Amino acid sequence: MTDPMLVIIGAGPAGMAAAIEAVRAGVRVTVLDENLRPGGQIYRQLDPSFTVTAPGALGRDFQRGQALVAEYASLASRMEHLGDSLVWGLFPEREVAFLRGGESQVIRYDQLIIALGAYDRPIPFPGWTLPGVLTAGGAQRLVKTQRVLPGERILLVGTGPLQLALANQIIHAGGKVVGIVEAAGVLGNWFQLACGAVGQWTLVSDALHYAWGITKARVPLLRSHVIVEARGNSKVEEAVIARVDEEWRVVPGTARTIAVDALCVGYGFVPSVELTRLAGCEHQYRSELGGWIPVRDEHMGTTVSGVYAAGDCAGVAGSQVALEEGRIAGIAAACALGRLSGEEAARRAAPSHHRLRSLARLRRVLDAISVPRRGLYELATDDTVVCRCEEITLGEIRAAIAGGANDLNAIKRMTRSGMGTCQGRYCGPALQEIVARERNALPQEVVPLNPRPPIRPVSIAALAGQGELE
Amino acid sequence: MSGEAYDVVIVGAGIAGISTAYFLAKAGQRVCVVEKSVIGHESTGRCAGNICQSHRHPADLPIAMRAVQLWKQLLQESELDFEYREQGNVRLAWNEEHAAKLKAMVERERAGGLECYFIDRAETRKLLPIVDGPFLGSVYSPTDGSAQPQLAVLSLARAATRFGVVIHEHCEVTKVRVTGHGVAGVDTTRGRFDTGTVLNAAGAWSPQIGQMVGVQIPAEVRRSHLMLTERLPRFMGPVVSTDMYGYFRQALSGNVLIGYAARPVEGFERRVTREAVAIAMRRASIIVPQLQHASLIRAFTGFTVWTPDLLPIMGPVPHVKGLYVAAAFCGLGFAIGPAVGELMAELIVTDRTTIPIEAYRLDRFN
Amino acid sequence: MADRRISNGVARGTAFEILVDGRSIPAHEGETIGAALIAAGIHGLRHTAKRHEPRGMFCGIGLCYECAMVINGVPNIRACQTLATPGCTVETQKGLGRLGGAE
Repeated sequence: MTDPMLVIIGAGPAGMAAAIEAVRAGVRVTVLDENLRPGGQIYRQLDPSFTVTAPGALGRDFQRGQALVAEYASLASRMEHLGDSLVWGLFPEREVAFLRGGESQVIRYDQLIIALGAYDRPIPFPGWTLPGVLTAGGAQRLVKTQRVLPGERILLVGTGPLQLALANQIIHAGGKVVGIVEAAGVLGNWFQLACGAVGQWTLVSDALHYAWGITKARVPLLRSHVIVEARGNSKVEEAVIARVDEEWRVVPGTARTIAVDALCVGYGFVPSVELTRLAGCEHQYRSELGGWIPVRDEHMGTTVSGVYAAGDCAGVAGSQVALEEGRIAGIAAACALGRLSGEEAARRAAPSHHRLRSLARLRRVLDAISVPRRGLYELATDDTVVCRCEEITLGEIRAAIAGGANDLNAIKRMTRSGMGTCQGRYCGPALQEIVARERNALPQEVVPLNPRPPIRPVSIAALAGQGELE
Repeated sequence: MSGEAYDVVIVGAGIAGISTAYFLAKAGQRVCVVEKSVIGHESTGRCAGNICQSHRHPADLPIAMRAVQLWKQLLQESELDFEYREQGNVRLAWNEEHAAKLKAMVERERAGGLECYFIDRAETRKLLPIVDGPFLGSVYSPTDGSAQPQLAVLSLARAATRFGVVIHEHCEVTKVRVTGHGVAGVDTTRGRFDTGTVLNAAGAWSPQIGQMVGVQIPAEVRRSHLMLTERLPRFMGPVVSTDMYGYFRQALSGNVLIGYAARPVEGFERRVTREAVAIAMRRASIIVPQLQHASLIRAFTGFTVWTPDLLPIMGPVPHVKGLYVAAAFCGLGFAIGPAVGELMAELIVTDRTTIPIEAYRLDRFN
Repeated sequence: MADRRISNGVARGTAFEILVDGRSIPAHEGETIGAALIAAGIHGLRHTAKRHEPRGMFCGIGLCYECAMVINGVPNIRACQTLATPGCTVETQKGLGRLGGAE
C-alpha cells in the first residue's frame, strides 16, 4: 500500500474537484469512493451494462456530471482513485480504515478531505414505512441510474427544487406524476429571490426548464401542503395530504386523499457527519443547512488540524457549492503540504470564493424557503414508528423522555432507537427535533448519538481476513 | 454553609453504587448518589452483561452465587424486562494445560455448590453446534447467565428511587470533606452534601476519589472493547467464553456481542483501536463461523479496573471513619453487582456481612 | 406482470431471470435486485421482526437496510445494492430470517 499525502473520502462533485486541484498542484492524492465509478449521488454514472442511447433523455445533471467526471478521469494517471472502497473508521494516528474487494485495508494520510455528501431527511408520518414510500433521493437513483419507475401513479411530496428535477426526470421517462406537493408557500419574496438569482444562470435556467416541464405535462403543483398519511395494506395505495400554515402545521379540515402507488418524499437532506464526528471535529447545529455540520474556517478546514470537509457533508448547499468548496479544500491541503505558496493558493482559490459568495445569496433565499419547519415534526402520532430499524414508536420515545431521557443517547439506552443497522441515520435527525420540542429546548441543545466506528456496517468476514486464531 | 444531609452519600451510579443505594434504602437509610455523568454511563453501561459464577477467583464464588439469586429476584420485582436470562456459559479449553486448569476449577467450584461440568469437544459441539476452532473441550455452567446492563442498572435505579434514594446526575465530586471525627460530606459541582458515610463506588475514577483524602487505591484502569453485529436470527444459546480469545453472546434482540479483552491504557483513552477490531473479528470468524455472514455495526470501549491479585476492593477505608470503597472488580463487577450492594449495605448498617469480605479489604495491599 | 422499466435513453444489457419466492422475474445485467423487483411491481421485500409489518426500498442508496432480503440463502442482504445474477434466489425476509434460508 502506497503512503499518499492527501486522502480524499468521496468522489462526488466536492471530492472530485478537490482531487483535481490537489493533483494540479502536484500533491500525491488517493481518493476513496464507495461506488464503482466516481460521480457521487448527483452525478452517479450508469452501470456499464447500460448503453446510453440518448444522453439528452438522462437530464442536465447527467451531462454536467459527464464533464466533471471526464476532467477527473483525465488526471487518473496522476493520482490513485480507489473505487468500491467503503471507509468505515478513522484511527490514530491519521489512519483511514476501509473495505475494498472484500478485504480490510488501511491508509495513512497527512491531510484528509472528507466529502461524504448527504442523505434524505427522514420525516416520520403515519404510514411512512409502507412499501412504495421512497425517499426522493432513492426514487431519483432508481429512475436515473436503474431506469425503473417506482410506480404508475407517483406522488411527490416535499420541498425545494429537487422535487421539480425529479418530476421532470419521471415525466421524460414516460412516467406519470399525479402531483407535486410542496410544503413552502407562494415564494413570497420574489424580489429577494430575483436578486439572489442574479448571475446564477445555470440554476435559473434549470428552474425555468423544470417549471416548463411540469407545466407542459400538466402536473398539479400544490403549495403549502404536506403529506399527512400514507395508507395501504401491504403497500401504499393512498396518500393523504393537507394544507399547512407558515410553520408547516396542518390546517384542520383541509385533508385530501389521492390514489397513488408510489410516494416520493423529499424534505431536504441531512449532512453525513459521521466521519467528522469520529475525527473529533467540533460541530454546530444549523437547520437551514440540514442540521449538525462541522465547524469550518474559510479554507474548509475543520477544528481538527489537517482535516477538511467539503460539499454537502458540511452543509447541504447543492452540487455547485460542493464543487467550489472541493476546490478550496484541495488548494488548502496543497498549501498545507507545501506544494503551493500562500499567495498562489489564495490566487487559485479566489474564483471559487467569489462564486461561493454569489451562490450564497440565492442559497440563503432557497434555504429560508425550504428549511424544515416545526409542523413537519408534528406529523407523527404516538403510534407512528420513528426508529424504523428497531420499530420504536413516537409514543415509546415520548415515554422515555417523560422518564428522564433528555438526549439521544439516553433515548437509545432506554428504547433501542438508534441501535439498528442504519446506525441512527433514519431516526436521529427526527429525534433531535422531537426531543427538543418535548423538552422545550432548542435542537442544538440536545446531545446527538455518540459517534462510533464502524460508520457503516462492515462484513465480519472482510474484517477478519485470513489467518490463524491469535 | 451546610448542604443537604444524608445518612450515606455514594459516589458513582454504576451497578455497585446503585445496588448499594437500593439495599441501604430498603434498610431505611437516607441515601444520595452523585454521578458525574448519567446512571450507568461508564463501565456498567459498556459491558456485555455476562453473569458468570464460574471461572472466578475461588474467594468470589459465594458472592457470585448470591448475586444470581438476587438477579432473579430483581427481575421479578422489576417493571421493565432487563433481559436477565439463565442461558448458561460454555468456556472453551484450548490445550491440555488449559483443560487441566479448567478441570481443577470445575472440581473446586462443584465443591463450592456450583453446577458445572467439563465436557469434551464432541459433547461441546453437540451442545453448541455453532462453535468451532481448535478447542479440546469446555466447561459448561448451566446456571450462568446474562442481562442487558443498561436496562438492569436503570431498573435498579428506579427501584432505589422508589425507596427514597436521590440520584444527582451531571454532578461531579470536587472534594471529600474529612474532619478529625471522620467523613463530614462531599462537595460537588452541584452543591454540598453532608454525611457521616461516603461510599466510593466510582469505578475507573475510584483512585481519584481516594486521592482526594490521601487514600491509595492500587488499581489499574484498562480499556475493554465490545463489538456488536446486526440483529441475527437466534442461533446461539449459551454464552461462549474463551479466556484468551474474547467472548460471544447473542442478546435477546438477536445482536451478537463480541468482547475483546481489557488492555492497559494511557489516561482515559476511549477510542476504539483498529487492532482490537481486526483481532476480535478474526477470532469471531473462527470460533463462531456463522458470524462470517454477519456485519459489525457498532464498536465501543469501556473501562475496567484491575487489582494485582484480581480480587475486588470492598470494605471500609482504614483510618478514615465513615469512608468505604466498592470498586476494582477486575471486569466482573456487573455479574456480582447486586450482591456487592447487599453486602456493602450490610457492612455500612451493621458492621458485619453475611458473606465474608475480608479477602477484599483495601489494606491487604500494605 | 408489470414492467416499469423506462425504455428511452438507454439500452439494457443481457436479459435473464431471477427467482423471487419461487416465481421467475425478469432482470438484466447491471440491474440491482431491488430495481428488478420494483420494475415487476413488487414493493414489499420483507416483514419486520417485532410488528410483522411489510417494508420495502426506502432510501435506495444502501443506508437504511429496509430492503434487506434473503438472497441466495443469506439474510440481511440489501436488495438495492445487490446486482441481479442469472438464477439467483431471492426470498421475502420474515423478521430476522434464518441463517441458511428463509423461515
